[in-house]
Amino acid sequence: MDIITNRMMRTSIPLFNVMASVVLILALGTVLKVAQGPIIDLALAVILSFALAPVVRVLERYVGRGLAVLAALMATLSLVLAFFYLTYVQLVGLAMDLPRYEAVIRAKLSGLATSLKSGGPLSAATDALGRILADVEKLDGEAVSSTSQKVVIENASSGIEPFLAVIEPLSHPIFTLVVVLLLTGFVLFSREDLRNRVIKLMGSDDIRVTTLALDDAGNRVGRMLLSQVALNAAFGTVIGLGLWLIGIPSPFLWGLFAGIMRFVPYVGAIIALVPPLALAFAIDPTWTTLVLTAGLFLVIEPIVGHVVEPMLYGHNTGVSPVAIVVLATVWAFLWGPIGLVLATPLTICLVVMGRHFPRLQFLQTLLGDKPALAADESLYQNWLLGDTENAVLPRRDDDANTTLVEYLDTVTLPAMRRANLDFVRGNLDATVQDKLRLVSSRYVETLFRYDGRQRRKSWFVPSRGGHVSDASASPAVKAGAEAVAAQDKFCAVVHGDQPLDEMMARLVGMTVQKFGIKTVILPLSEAQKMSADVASGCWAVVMSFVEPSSTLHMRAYTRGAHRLVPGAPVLFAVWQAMEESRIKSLRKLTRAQGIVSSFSDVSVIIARWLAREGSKKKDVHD
Amino acid sequence: MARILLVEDSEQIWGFLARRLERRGFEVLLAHDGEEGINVARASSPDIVLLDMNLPVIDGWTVARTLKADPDIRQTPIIALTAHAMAGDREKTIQAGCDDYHPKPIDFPKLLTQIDAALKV
Repeated sequence: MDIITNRMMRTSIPLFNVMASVVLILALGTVLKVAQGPIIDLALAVILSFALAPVVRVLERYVGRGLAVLAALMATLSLVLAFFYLTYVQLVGLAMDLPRYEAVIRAKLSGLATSLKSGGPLSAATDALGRILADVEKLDGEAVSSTSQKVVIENASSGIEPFLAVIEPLSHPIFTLVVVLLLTGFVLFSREDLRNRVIKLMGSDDIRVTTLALDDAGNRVGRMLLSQVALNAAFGTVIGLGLWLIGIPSPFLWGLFAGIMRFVPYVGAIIALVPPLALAFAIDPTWTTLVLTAGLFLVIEPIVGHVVEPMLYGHNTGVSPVAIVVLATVWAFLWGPIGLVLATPLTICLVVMGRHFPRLQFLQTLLGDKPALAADESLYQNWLLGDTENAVLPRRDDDANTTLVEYLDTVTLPAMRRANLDFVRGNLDATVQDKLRLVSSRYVETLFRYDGRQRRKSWFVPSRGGHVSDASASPAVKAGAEAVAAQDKFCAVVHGDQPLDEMMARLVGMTVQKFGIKTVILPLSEAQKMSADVASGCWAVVMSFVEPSSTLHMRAYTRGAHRLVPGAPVLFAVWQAMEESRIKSLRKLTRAQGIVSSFSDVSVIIARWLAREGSKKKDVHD
Repeated sequence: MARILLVEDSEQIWGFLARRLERRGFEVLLAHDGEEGINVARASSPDIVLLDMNLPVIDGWTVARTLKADPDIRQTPIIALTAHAMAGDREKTIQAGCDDYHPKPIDFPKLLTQIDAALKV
């Protein structure tokens, strides 16, 4: 392929990707919507099998797999049937009792109406409401009277009709239940086989790692779902018991409803509160029951949500709150109310899979609650945006107890390497390069400011007495630093001419200043012109280069420094990624006293040199 | 004498390398970005290519793959010059089609031995 076509292809790849993604999402949405019946069954079966897998695994130790799966399914079936039966009984009871509450509701409404001042907006509203209700009753009566003549009972003696009338509405849920349980049984019974098929499908090179990852993901999803089911069941039970104590009719039904609704993120518990609240309003002539019912939900839900849930799942489910809400909307749109209930378990499944499989990592990035960009990536992004203030603030996922040097090594250095890579690849035009110079300089100033108020901000660990590492706190290092300061000597930090060289040199200066040593930062061209008088005050030289061109250059610079400041040690800070063996060979080739490629190594070497100064001072005193 | 194509965007590096290589008797052709590198390589069939991996316009990895896919110049040895000296970087450059790898900062005597070795092969 020629270069022009190659370049055009490369520029159009993102567009193709977007188009392909849109088509894929639309196709997926259509399939999920059109074939929702079987897919909902499948989704229910998958979620159920994830939740039952831990139970089956325990049972398998005592009986065979077949029996274990059968037992788990039978237990599920009995639970579901028991739920259905109790729900039916309670619903029938509620329907029978409803007319009895009419008098209470009327009394309460009329009480409300009389308590409102006549002529006020509320009384006008209640009057209007009363008139509308009266009209509706009238209409209803007319409708009944007009349709009552058309009712014809045909063949009332046929024995099978009443039976069909009961069976017909129940046939779909029973069919779904049977299909879901059968699918769950198959998934549970042959889960290793299914796992191997997934591995094959993913075309993994390393079967061992993928198997372990898939097993781990399955276990995590299973544990998380099971604990969520258990938690919501417990929530439902507590609510049911509470409502029973308060005296709300059909408390079991509302407990079950609350337990199921808790799967709906954020608003589920509030929706579950509505029917018991309405009943509380209807059954009690006073307001006590209503207040107690509302109070029960207001106490239990925060306890479960903010105390029990974090204890059970660690901090949280690892799913971003925005993703949960968005996905709940999407699932509700696709599948209706059942989609709303399935949204959280489905999202958890997707995020855990995303966390464990490189190919599905986009799910974790999209839906997980971890910041999408690593600390160094977002720092570089902030540099490009010109936002230096935010760049220095600690992020939610950063270790709050980091030291300045650790921060420089783990965040600033990788960000600088990213910026440099973009620079050498020609991805930054002249204006962006100028901006980067300016922003990086402001970044150093901001960092200085933060470091200065470290004690108040409680970030950048106030490393003992302002020192940077354990090594720097030793008495010999302190004595050395005092000796250098007493002679009014400084450390020269010399840098190259690439856009990020000056920033790195200033950060080196910051690291050295932590020892209480004065620093002078200057570009190579100026350092070469330094007068002998100024050079005589130099204690050590640090040469800082983002990318030095050759070992010959480095050796020439070392020689120049030794000539200008005889006796001063020379340290080369080379900010590219290097292995220890390369550092050793560079030390030999450049004849410098030290080669480093991290800020922690800068502070270690400076501490070592200061300790030597300290021991020299001690020798003189002795 | 052997003809070397040096594809390098850093003025300091190509200045110093070209001078030294010419002093050793090599003929040095220069290209300052990946696209120019491919064009010069196709037009003048050098004996060896010294290729910086982080180049503007087209990066060194693409250049290496393009040159190795071209039947006319696929035999030309390529020595990758990279700013990374980490474990695995050598393998990555070899996978991209380079024949040898030299981490920056450039160690000129070592680079000379690598050039000699590549030319002998």
